[in-house]
Amino acid sequence: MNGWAGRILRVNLTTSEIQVEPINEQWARDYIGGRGLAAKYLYEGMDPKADPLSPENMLIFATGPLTGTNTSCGARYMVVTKGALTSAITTSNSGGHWGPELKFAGYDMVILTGRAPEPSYLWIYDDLVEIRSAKHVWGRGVFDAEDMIREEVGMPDARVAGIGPAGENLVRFGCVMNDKHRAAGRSGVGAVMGSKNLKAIAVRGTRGVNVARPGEFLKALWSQHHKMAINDGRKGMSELGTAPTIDLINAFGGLPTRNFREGQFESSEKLNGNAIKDTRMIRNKACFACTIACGRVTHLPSGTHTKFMVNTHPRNWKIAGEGPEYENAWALGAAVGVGDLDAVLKANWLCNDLGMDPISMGATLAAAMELYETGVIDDKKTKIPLKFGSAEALIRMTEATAFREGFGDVLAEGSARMGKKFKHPEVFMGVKGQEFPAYDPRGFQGMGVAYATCNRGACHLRAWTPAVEAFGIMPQHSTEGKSAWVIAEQDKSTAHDNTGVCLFVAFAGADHKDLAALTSAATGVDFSEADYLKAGERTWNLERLWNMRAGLSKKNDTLPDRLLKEGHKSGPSAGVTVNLDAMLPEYYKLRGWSQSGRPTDEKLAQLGLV
Amino acid sequence: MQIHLEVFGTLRDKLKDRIPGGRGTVDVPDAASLDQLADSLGVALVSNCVVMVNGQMERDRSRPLPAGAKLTLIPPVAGG
Repeated sequence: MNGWAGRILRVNLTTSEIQVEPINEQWARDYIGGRGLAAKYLYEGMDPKADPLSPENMLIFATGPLTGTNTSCGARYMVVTKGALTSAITTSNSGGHWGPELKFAGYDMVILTGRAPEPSYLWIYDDLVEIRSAKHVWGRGVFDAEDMIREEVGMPDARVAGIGPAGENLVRFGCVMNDKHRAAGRSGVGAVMGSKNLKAIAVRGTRGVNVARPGEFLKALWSQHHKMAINDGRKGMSELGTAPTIDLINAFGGLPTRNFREGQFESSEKLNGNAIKDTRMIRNKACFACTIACGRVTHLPSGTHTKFMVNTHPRNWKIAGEGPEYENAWALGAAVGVGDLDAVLKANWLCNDLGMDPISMGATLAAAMELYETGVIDDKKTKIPLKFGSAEALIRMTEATAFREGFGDVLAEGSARMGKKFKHPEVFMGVKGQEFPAYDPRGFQGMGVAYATCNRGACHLRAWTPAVEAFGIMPQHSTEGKSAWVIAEQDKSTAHDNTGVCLFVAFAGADHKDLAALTSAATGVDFSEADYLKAGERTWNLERLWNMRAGLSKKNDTLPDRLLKEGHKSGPSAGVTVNLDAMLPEYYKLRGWSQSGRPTDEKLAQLGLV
Repeated sequence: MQIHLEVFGTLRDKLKDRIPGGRGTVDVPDAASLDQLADSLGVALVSNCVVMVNGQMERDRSRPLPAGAKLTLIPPVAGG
């Protein structure tokens, strides 16, 4: 095959059975690859009602047909499974070099089932596939474990995707990390991996990726490269990363602060792209084939790296790491009221090394701080004051959470479960059990319907409405046209995820037409613009069907009362609440779903899902 | 007249000599427009730059700026 490697690796960790099978070509044409194709295998292969941390859950690492090609940002792989945090279908994707390496080894996907009898890792070297003991790296941080495994397999160029202590300890928002600092971050995919006793997948491949129509591919490629080279959004991300977004969102009163109790953070400029670049950045960094390089390599100045040392473990002596991105700067900063960039850097590196989603970490701590400041919990439970703005609490609780030590054991369950435990579910700020990312829908109405309807719970990556609401195309506080815009973006971004290309190319000058052309040239299968978008819509509906089989329904397509009933007291979005009642019925109607949120037979027939 | 300017992102670097720290006051002719202000600063404001006048989004770049206005300029940003 071209574009697709054409093979799937199946590993039953309970029985150690390893199989290689051909990819289902019809499914590949229907879903393109990546997120959609993996969702199809998940839909056909497991009971959606299974416990996400049970051996019955499937864990799929999937690439797309453009992963490993020289398409700009063709670096992505997706981890598709039932989320440990949400119990909904999830797709968390990551860049770096691991996904391309899996393609070079000759596989589109790795499908894992069962549970290994002891800590293990998977070693893939082209056709050689082995399950090896990971007893000696179990308990190690991501950074150490990756180095040790690479040395053990004897391949300096091997790429490793794995979990840290958080995943091992089944922290509900543990992530899968690769290339040390790149994360398949959300929904607890790392906890699922930990539940399977699987520390890592190391891979080295020596094959390339075949392209069906090279001349056509290069023509489409140069078009994409040129558009991105001259694009101002791309230039901004190269220079300042993603953290300048904090300025924009703060200016509109949509920067969730201190657990969504305010919409602007007084110290936002201490955490923005300029502050990072001017004071703590060593250089920027790109993933495989990337022409953006939004990554930040950062450091703490000599003599200050011990400022936030929380124990004597050498991991805390490190003085350099990567990030923070916008989301992390928000979650470990504004969300918890911490305006100290060094503390945010340190907490971010800890999240990377321990293998935790910084969004859910910061947001869960913010909810705990609200419980503390309102007197629901106290020092007897937390051991240290959990006050908004406390850098010490941020650092200590980040580490304690990964190891489930003390109050960290409560935080490790995420804020929805924590809120219920203390009989204050209202402190949970999220959807379907997953904490919100860094946009307050009271500042950007469209994010309200985007969050409420997202299949994997609250997420900013399926439809990013500030693109139109902050740039003046649609008024930020109006609901008009938002549902239609969100649906179009959800379908586009889903098709995009299916190709294996980073979503950021869409913010950097390239669009779905470029990716449809590249996918067609790479695979030799002609995906018209309509075919391409339909693959996205098909995937979205399939994920919805999967969630319905898991027991989710319209009741899960909602937002916390704080957003629906309470406006901010000040700022540009003061007094505004989210009018979900105006957007959700329209969303269902435009989706071709019933008003109970179920895809109609007619819609399913249109998409070939019956 | 005077305009109180705050700029963010890549503009902050471009204007670091004129407006250190991204905030400052500039003198412009009365009733100057945004485009005229940009010309006087020697920066090109790209089409999708967010412009706020006294905290409200402004899309018309030829409209005269009010004296003493607070002008916020945010270049294109994305992602998270």
